[in-house]
Amino acid sequence: MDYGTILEERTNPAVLMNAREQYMRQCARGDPSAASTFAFAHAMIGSKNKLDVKEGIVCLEKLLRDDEDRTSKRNYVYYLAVAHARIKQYDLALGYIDVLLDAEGDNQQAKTLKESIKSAMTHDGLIGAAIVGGGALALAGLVAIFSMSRK
Amino acid sequence: MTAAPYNYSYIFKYIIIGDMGVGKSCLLHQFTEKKFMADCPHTIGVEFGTRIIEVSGQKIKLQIWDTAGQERFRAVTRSYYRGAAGALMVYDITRRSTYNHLSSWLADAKSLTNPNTAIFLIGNKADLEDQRDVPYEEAKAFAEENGLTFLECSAKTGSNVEDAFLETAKQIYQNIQDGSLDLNAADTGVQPKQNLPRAAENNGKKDCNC
Repeated sequence: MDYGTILEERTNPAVLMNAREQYMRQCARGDPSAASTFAFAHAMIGSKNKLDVKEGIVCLEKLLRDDEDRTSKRNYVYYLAVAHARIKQYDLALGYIDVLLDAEGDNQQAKTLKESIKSAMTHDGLIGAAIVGGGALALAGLVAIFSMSRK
Repeated sequence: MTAAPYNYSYIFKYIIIGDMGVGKSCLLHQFTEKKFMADCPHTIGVEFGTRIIEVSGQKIKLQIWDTAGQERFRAVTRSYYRGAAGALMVYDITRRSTYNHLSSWLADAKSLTNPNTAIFLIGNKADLEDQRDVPYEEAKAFAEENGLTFLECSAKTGSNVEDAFLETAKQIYQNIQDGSLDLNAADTGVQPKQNLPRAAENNGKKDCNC
């Protein structure tokens, strides 16, 4: 439980199991609500299993596309940055956090996350490497969606 | 940032809860950075802060989870109650509605934390005396009825902020000392240093502060 940054946080397995069960129950009844999808995704991106994290990312991407609520969109963008950083997809992580910082330049929480991502990259020996790959390009579409919602 | 980061005896996990806009993040920021954030956007999900404090000569690392007050993310923030050694429940003394919602926050805190969790009631924005909407005595009585420790604070001036976080730690430490908090039980929100692999790893290495 001794975390240095939010990126090191991992979901308690019991919490993860609980979130999954609740989400499955909701899905069985029809379309799950944005709130319960987010709760599920949030738990999944803290899993030690990379496949769970990826499943969480898929949920967050879907929420970002479908949820009209502006306040919620910033949550999804933030946690997409967290999730990608946790599986070391740093270019995507930086892409998402920059989208948030473009909209809220003074957001301390977002700035702290960006620093954490950069220090994780330094730790992995990635600073200075050319990391702008296909990932950042793939983001462009989502950035547009996020920017439109700001009006 | 410069202090030896793993030099402490315990980690205590805290959560900060309460309505949107009562100043939870500002309290955390004032406590960890000793600065006031004037224009603070709504917290995204759950934020995290740490600070090492000292109680009875023991260094303790506080790991503080600051939860978003927005109702729609309650499912996420609820998962953070589990295993909290301390809960700071915050309302805004200038907005009665935030005080009126305390019973629902308290019900959550009592049902989702363990019986030993130290729950501290904070009336924030005490610097705005001329806009006061909740009398001190009323909140004090509510706290006494519910067995909570209570202080009015100001994240803006910093008044009483240290005390709220430190008093909570003292209570938790006291519970450890008198045995009412069993460190071997699950989800106490307290972790002694001997169980910290990272702490052991760093011993003897990079610990020279002379």
